[in-house]
Amino acid sequence: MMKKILWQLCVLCVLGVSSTSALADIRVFTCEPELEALVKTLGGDKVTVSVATHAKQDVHHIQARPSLINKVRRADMVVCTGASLEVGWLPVLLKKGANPAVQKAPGLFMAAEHVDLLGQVEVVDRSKGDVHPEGNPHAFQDPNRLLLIAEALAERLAVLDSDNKAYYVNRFADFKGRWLAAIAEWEKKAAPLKGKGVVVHHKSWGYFLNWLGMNMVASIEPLPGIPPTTSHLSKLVKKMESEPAYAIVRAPYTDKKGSLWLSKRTNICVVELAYTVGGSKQALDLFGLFDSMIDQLLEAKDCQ
Amino acid sequence: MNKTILSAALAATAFCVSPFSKAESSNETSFNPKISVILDGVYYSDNKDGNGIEHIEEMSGILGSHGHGEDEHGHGELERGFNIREAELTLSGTVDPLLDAWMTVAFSNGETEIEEAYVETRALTSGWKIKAGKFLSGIGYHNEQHLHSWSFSDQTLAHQTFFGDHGLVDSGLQVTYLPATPIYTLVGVELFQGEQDKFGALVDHDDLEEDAGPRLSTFFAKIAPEISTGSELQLGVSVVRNAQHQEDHSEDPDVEVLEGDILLWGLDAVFKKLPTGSYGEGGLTLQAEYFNVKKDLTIEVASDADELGEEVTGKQDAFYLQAVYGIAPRWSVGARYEKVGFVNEVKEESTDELGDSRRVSLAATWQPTEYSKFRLQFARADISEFDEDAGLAKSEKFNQIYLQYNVSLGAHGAHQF
Repeated sequence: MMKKILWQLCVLCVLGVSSTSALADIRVFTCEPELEALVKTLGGDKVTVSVATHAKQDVHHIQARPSLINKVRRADMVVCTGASLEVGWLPVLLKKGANPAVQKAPGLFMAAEHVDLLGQVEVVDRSKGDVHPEGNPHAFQDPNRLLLIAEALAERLAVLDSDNKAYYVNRFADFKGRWLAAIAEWEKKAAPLKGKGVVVHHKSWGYFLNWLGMNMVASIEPLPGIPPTTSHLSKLVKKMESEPAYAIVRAPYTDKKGSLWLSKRTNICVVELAYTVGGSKQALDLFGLFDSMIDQLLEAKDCQ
Repeated sequence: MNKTILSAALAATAFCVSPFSKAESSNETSFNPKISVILDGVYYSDNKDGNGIEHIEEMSGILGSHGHGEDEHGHGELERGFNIREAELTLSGTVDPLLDAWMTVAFSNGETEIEEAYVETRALTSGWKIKAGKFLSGIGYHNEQHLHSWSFSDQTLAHQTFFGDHGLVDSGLQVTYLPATPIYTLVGVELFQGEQDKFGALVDHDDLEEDAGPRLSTFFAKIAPEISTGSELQLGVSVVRNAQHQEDHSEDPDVEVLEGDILLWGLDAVFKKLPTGSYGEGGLTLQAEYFNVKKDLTIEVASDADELGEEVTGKQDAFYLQAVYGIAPRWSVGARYEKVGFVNEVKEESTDELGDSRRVSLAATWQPTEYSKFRLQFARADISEFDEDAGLAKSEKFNQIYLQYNVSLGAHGAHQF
């Protein structure tokens, strides 16, 4: 009798353990807030997401610190941008994390590998600054490209967690519907911005401006990743005198001084756009991000 | 045309190997092997007619302050004026799905030296890593950092007095384990040959045998409790044991050769407040390490037979604390306080007090890009030297100034924490 009870308990234990493990979420480590938001949107309650950076940090310069290594160690999937954006720290995280599951696909997902990148260069020379040979990695800033990334990501989640394939397919379909509607609205709203010139801080804005039909006429950094110099800024002032830009754009993580200085000398508005999820009060999710960025750009004409 | 065929072939291969058309991996593997060159030079001066570096090398300590049988090759003995300290060539890459390899060759003062050459397992099984070859030991915090990522122009006095200019670097095997715990925890053990400056020093003597390696072993553990998204704390303990350390105290015509073991334990702590501005502005790093060393030697060969079997013991410790703060985009300032010898004594028949050494350094670093940095460093040193004949420690006080440049070309390796 006793034996039987023990046996039953034992079976219950084993069942209990295995059922909890089947219910366990997929643990996803993401490099940037926009990818965190995307994984949450597509993965819903089947995923637990952590993120390496926040909107106030420059993702080019992140420390491969132990607490991030530990998150990679325990992840089932790593989702990053790629195209050398995280080249200064992600390789260390992957190496030190010693987690065989996320060293390559399917456990490792690089967003930039699923879209065409702007600004691919044949010859990379450091005299041109911190350029990425693969092209400009900030592709999520174009909502159409972001949709392609979302599609690939949903497919990947379905590969990793095949039991819930239908769940991911449905969530992507839902997202796609809402996103396409939003794109149509954004494009309509942003129509007055078309053809206008913008001065950027760093060339990370290429996709966003390209999508809206705006032109990047100059950048405050003389070369990508190189801080502004006075001589470069003075040249910009002269350029703005002859052909004034519509606005100066910077991200929350960039230094304010250069853009403020130029704005003061030229009376051109400077707007701090959210850049990524969490970059402004309104940018709480991907929809809020693009809503707020377009609103701010539209408002820029009234600021003087 | 050829290019198209080639890329088509490559694409086809990639497709066959993996069901995903693009080989998704960290971009590190796209250059194989990656090549990087680091050039480091200094303008150096001190107010001891350029002998400051020599005084630091002769700083009194229980390991080889006597200067016997050590090979003297540092990051170059500096002369007053311009010095190219090092040109370092690094090749690294992925050997196969199992292994990564790394090799650093340093060219300095007409010498070529393999600084590091090792293979390391990629994802073996969860959390485990094995490294084999010649490499910098993982003990403490600063030891594993390469010269180009140091926050000051020179080696700490603590590493200098126990391991020499290069720190603890040797041929051997390292095994580390990172368990899947909520808090980062890393434990590691190393077995080294023991061919090492100071700590592993052996003497060439007919009556003494060299034990088979490995003779030097280490253990280290690190934890990093997560404190906030904007900062990081790492605490560590280390133990290093050398089972065969030899010293030659012979002074013509008397012979006296000793052998025994050394044990070191150390504590390290690093706190980093991550930059809040761009290009490192607002970042703060506080870093401190303490090492305590005990040696236990026996006189094995002596011209005076009475001395044979006599014990010679020594105790010494060393400490440094440094802070580096990003005061502006691309600019940082640092201060470092070092002390060697809260305890510093050798006991033979009587006890010799070897005295204590101190140094305060201030540095300002400008990093115009990720690939280059320029640093001005000023130090005030008070170095103890032991005069064997008088049996007394005397102190040398002097100032040092460094103007350093450090540039890297080619594949820029990711920085460790």
